[in-house]
Amino acid sequence: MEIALEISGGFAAIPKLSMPMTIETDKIDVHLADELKSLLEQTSFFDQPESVGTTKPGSADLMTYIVTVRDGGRVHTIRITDPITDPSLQLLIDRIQAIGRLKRP
Amino acid sequence: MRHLHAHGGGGCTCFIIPPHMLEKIAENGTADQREKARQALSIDRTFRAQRVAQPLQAPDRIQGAGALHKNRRTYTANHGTGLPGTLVRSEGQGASGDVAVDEAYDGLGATFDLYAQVYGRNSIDDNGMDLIATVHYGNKYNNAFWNGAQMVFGDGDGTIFNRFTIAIDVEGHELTHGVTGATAALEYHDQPGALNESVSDCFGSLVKQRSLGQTAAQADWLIGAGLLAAGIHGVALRSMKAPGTAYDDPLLGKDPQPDHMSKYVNTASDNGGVHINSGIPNKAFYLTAVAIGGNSWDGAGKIWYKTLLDSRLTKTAQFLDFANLTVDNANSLFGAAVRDKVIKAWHDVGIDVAPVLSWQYNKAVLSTFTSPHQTNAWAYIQDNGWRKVQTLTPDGVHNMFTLLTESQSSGAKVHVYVDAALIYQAYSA
Repeated sequence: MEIALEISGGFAAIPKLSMPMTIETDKIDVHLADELKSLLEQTSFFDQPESVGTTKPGSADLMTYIVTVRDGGRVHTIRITDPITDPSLQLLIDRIQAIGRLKRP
Repeated sequence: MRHLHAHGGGGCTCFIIPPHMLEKIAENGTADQREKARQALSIDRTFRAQRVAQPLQAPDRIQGAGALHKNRRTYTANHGTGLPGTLVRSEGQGASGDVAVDEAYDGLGATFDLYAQVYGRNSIDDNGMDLIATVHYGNKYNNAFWNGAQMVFGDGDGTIFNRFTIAIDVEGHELTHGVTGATAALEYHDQPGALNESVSDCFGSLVKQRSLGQTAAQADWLIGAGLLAAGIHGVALRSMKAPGTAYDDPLLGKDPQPDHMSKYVNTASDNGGVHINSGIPNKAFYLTAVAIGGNSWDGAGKIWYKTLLDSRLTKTAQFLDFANLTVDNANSLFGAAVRDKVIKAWHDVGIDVAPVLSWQYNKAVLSTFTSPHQTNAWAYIQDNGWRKVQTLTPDGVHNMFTLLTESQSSGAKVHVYVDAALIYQAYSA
């Protein structure tokens, strides 16, 4: 399974921090891989709409997380914009970032 | 009273409407003159039409309804994402001991005070709206945002970012998004989005400068100073004085902000680079503020604030549209000398505003100069500086130059119709 995350926007909007990070679950610690797979199941990731979150008029500096998961023949991309109201989706984003950052230089 | 037409001939006493004179140039001038006159006419007609269409929205309105109402409420999200969270500190209460709560409270206060005391604005909506902030949002959350109704601040991960309340200009930045939403409502993408971001940086910086009692020359013009964690090579997130120089770090890369239109970044990310290309109008604001001198909130700040409230500013305004309005508002607030500083500031970031014509009344002619056969002539007009005599015939140059030199030697005042470079008409006062 391959999990990719790209971040757009935010007050800082530093391009290098926004660049896509990709996690290949068979190349990371098995416990971390199981944790991510479990979170994807909890969020019913492949059933999520392409766009999650509604922004109020005039909002600014919001971060948008673009998550793509490839699993066998399935590929699904969702765009989630802050503030995230679903705690399991928030945890998924937090853990992808934390685990993705572990393998960064 | 005697006046001389720019297009030559002797004196007459008819009343000349400025656009009429422009139309003459548009018909009869050289190619360059015709183009300039057409641009000016087009702008003039647009402005006139808009003024007629929107008579109730006075662009210089500065005071809203009701008494000033300052009511801050600072909440904690307790590292969750529910908003607004748990109330910690309300208006008038003493320090809570939670540094993020207290920084947010103080930052909101300084921002409210700038808008109220300098611009006469009664909170975000100019109608006493409560100022709501939530801190400790999320888990090591690396961001601060305006959700359309309140401010939200993360604690940062401690590795790249410190807490987002650490810099008072960040509070000013986020609250100003609320002000922009309640006024110009600049769309959050591409150039209007970069203007939206820039306006937040401008007033965020003014909040900081005013709280520190710094003049334009003394200020550091940094956005987010102290926000980058120890060990990161950088001084802040953005520099209005020198966009592109705020950080250069192995982890973050280099500050991508351009300081000139020639370096405008075309990108799909970040809503079309709204936090990147804001460097261009940011620098124009900085250049304006230092050129005017003194406290930035009194000079450049008033021009930009009036522009934000200007009914001619559309939601989809481009940099040039915004620049044109700042020039017009600088002229109406402070006169031609300050207007010319604004024109130069935009020119220096690669944005050339359309010629702005205005009558300058009762000005002294301080110096004059002409080429040997009087085919070209210049005059130094009080409060304006050097302007070239702009006419269509050699007679016109001669006649206007004669009036100007006579006025110079006698000390008589003149009325002149000028833009940033040229004199189109002159009358003896």
